[in-house]
Amino acid sequence: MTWWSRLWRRSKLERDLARELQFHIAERVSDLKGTGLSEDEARRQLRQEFGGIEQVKEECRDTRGTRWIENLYRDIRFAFRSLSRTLGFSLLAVAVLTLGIGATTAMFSITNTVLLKPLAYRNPGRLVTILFRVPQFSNTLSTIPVNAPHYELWRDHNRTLEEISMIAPDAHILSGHGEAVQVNGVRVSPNLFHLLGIQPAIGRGFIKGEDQAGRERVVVISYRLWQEEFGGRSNALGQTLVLDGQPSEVVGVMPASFPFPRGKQLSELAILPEHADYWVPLVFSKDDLADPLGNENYIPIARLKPDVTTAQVLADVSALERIISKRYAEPVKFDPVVRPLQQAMARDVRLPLLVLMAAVAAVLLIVCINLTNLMLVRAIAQRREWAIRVAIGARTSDLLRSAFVESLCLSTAGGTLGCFLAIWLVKLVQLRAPIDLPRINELAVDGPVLLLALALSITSAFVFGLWPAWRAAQVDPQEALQSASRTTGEGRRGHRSGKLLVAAEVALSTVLLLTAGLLMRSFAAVLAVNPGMKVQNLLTLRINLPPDRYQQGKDIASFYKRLSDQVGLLPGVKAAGLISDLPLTGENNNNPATAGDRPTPPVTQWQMTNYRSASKTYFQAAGIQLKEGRPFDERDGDTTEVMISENLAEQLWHGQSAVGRPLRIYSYKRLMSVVGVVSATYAASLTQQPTMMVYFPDWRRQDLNMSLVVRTANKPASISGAVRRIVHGLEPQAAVPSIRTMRQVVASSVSEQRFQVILLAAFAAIAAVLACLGIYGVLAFTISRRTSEIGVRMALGARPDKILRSTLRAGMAPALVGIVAGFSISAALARVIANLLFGVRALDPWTYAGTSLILVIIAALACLIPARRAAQLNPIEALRNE
Amino acid sequence: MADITPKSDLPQGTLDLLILKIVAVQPVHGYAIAQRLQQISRDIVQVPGGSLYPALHRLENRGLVKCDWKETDSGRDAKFYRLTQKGRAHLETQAASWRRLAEAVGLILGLAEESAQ
Repeated sequence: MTWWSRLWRRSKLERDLARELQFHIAERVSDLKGTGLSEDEARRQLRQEFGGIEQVKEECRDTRGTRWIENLYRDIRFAFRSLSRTLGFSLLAVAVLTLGIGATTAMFSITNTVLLKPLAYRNPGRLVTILFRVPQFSNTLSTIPVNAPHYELWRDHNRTLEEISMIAPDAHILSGHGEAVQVNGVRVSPNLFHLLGIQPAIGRGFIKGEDQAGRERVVVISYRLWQEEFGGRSNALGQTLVLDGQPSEVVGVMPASFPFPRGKQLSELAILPEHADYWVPLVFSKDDLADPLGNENYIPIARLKPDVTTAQVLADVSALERIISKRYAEPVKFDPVVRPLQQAMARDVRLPLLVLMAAVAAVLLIVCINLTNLMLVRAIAQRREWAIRVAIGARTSDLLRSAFVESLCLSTAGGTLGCFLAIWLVKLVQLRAPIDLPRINELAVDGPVLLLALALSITSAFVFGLWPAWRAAQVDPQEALQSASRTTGEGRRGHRSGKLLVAAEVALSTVLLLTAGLLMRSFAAVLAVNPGMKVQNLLTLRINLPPDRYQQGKDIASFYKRLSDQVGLLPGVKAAGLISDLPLTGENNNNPATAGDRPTPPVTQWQMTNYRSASKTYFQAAGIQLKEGRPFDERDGDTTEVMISENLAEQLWHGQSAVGRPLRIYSYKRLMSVVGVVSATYAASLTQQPTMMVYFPDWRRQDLNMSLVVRTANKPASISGAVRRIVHGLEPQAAVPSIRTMRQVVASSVSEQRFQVILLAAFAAIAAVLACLGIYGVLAFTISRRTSEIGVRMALGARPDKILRSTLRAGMAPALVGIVAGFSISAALARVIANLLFGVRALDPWTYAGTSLILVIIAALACLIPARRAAQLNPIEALRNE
Repeated sequence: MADITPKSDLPQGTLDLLILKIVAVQPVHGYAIAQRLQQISRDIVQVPGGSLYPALHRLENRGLVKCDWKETDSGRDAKFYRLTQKGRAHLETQAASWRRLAEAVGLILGLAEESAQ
């Protein structure tokens, strides 16, 4: 029989044991009687020989090896009974534990995936990206991508890399099945899949030589595109995909779970698609290879040789840089930056995530402190029961074990529910998170995360269960049972520890509230930034034209002109204009510029600008103010007209009028002439400096892809259908990948900050509520134990308001200590927090004042209820209460 | 000699061996085991119930003995223990090693006496 079957058949074993011993006794008694003893004498002798029957039974039970489980079972049953006696407390405890463990688990799951879990590539630790830092641009761009001459140099002459690939974002219009759609993909060197160590699920990757012109019309598609375009059929291989009117042969399908860098993860300038749907071979043009200074459009991904460090790679490529820089036409300094791919893919979220992780851990800590407090209170209330158990023979270890099992029951329930909460929260983040979390599709509550939840449950049970239990187990039964009065007992010691815990949780809540407050003020400061345009009642549409049908620049120009004219005639539309890239959607088309009427400085001192194509009605439609001069005028036929932003004019001509002045742009031989100056806008983010902008008239620089901005009289969304119909009426093959109001564009540009603020505010609110509960609980308990003392004081003539005041003071003291402690902790952390803030100092006095005010009010409210109860005590009843 | 309490004098594990030997003869209940141990050892080995039953249960849990409920001659139901295959093997090895040990101890004691003479 195995031990668990012995456990299973426990009642039968018990019955058998009793019968067996009874038989023995009966036989012995009758034998002894046979020797002439009386029944009584026989039984007495038997007891001497045999020993205590119960003891023998116990020893027999011990041999079953199931003792520990029976004890555990008994303890659990006992815990359930005892917990259900205080059902309100137990439910509350489970609820706060669920919240604490759930939030921590979910947050850890995110942090783990984003920051810690290795990328799902072969030997991901050896993958790096290499970008350039250009000291001259460092105020606007931390790094820039790399160009083809550098790539070829590194590929052929490095000593530290096993392999190197280039990637670059790509987008095409996919036609053939129904409405033309825009698909986003990536141009990659043929060896990329080999470098990453992930091969297509079906078919093949690219082969050597497919990056040669003429052999490049092959495409590897994503699992999603395979499902959508080919219905997941295996005969997709060998079929053609028509991209921008050009057929390409499908040679492979990547697995569904192929992780690929997204968005601005690797570079702010080469913005990769959110979901890459295809990969095509990257073919360098003659132009790409000609100038070692131009066309920095590609992101290198490299695999290190074994046992090579990033520092060695840096030394390697820096040495190569010294060689190639001799060929530069200008004295530009490119500093290579080597970053592990993992780190690069978690670039901007690292600090915010760690702060949120710390915040959520603080909430869990507060939960534990609160529970410790409640358990302490509960343990004191159970003193008599424990004393009785000690008196009838329970050992300290028994008491501790049963108390620990009790906390373990609570925390296991909380932990289990917390796991479900975490799974739900992670789903929510995955579906709804407005922020660009890297690798969000890999997010899952998996083994290590569940292990953490388990560890958290057990640890929290230790934290909140063991100390109160140990304290309570130090009970002296005689003293506890003799002093029947409820007023004696714990004395000062119990008091002090309760107050200390309250102070600790108030301190933690203060830190959280302060940080949340600072983030809120910082968010408000971001929203208060003048975007340089009118955001209300502005509809924006992104339009992509199929390049195979628009090879002539004048076709593009005429399409967009007709479009904006027709849209302008719609009822309810005040103005319509076109721009190559909307504000707040990203930096691109960077180009240095300088004043053309002054001596030309070295290029390192030129101003880094963004350039855009704009129609002359764009500024009016977008509500961008004309500060000086006039908009473009097509009738002039002047192809050198540009408009510039106010801040660029200020930088170049220092307060003098810029109109009519020549502007030198790095990549143009001719001087441009400034006809108008408009207010500055933000290309990427409201938290950066306004962007230096050069606008070209759209009939001069034709872009296939433009954004239409429509100023409306009323709700902008109401005309989106009509505008879309006009687009497709003019060109059925045009794709409209996004229709958003400008308000939505602004909102999505600050979504990361908003997400952070909301999360942290939620954590802070939970913390404040828990702290409030803690303050209330300790004070209410203290008062209930001092009922008779208060009764005596009142009987001796103390007035109710005096009682109220003294009780309030007793309750508020630890809270105030906690607030001060919290302030000191926050001040010490100011340097870290400052990195998250915009437009507000980490030691902002208003936030400190506001936070302390809120906390004092909360604490006072929490104290007021028990204090009023104390003041309203009826002394006669209070004393009878003994 | 009869007043020696076996509980303190039986070397560790010996009680198990003695019980197995008794059970090996024929299926037998706990009371009879105690009686037989006492008879055969001429009252030297007296096992109180407090030691006997835990030992029996331990042997049962280790799978060395099995038990069945049967009626005794006196008409009462009793739990009869019998040896299992495993129990027999265990008994043989244990008995052999016990004999070897006893012989060795005897030899040493005899030698000591010889040299003393």
